[in-house]
Amino acid sequence: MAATYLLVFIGFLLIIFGIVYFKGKQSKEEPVEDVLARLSQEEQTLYKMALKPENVSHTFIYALSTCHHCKKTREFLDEHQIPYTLIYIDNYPKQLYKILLEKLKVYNPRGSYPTIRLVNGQIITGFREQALREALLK
Amino acid sequence: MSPEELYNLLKEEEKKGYYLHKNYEHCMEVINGLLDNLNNYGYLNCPCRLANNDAERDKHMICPCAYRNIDVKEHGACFCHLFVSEAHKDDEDFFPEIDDRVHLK
Repeated sequence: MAATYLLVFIGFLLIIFGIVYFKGKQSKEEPVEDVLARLSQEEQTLYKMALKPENVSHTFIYALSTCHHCKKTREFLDEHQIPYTLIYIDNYPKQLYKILLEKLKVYNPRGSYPTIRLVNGQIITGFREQALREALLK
Repeated sequence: MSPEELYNLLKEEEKKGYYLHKNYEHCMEVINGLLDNLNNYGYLNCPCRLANNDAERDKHMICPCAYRNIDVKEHGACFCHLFVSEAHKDDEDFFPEIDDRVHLK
């Protein structure tokens, strides 16, 4: 009987310890501002633009550095001399790219790459040459 | 693993009816993206999709991904255009538009 009480007590202590440990770990997460401050000025500017692409006066692209659809999109825009700003989400620390992803989801719930926001607010997802031609080369 | 080694490894999929894209340069681009992900995360996450740095969570995106077969069946190619169907195996310019089946998790 005493052993049962002891086991229950130990279990209870373990649960309390787990909760305290988990909460502590959560609160120790570095503030976003500190993570951001460690980046280059250019990366910081790009990050801020990505959170408010509606303030950007040209096409804004959310991309992955490893994605060939994103590369093709860049090549298309370069070829037609269309100004754009592009952010490689995967190059940012996890804490920041999580925030970028939330923003991306607003425009493209599927979260696929590239997600292209045109100046007029139109969203094009993936490399769609015809859609880009119609939207940008008219 | 070198890009050529991975290329040869993935070429084995041809036995199952999934052919590497005829455009070798394109294949190497995708394969280099795969190898970047292997170096960064430890697994061959699809280079067209953002990895979560968690192999179990991302297993549906590990190449060949869980969506390849249905995309090849429906569109003739997988989302990355790395694999194509037999009907398109000799077409160097086959790059159909395919919607990503993955939703953000």
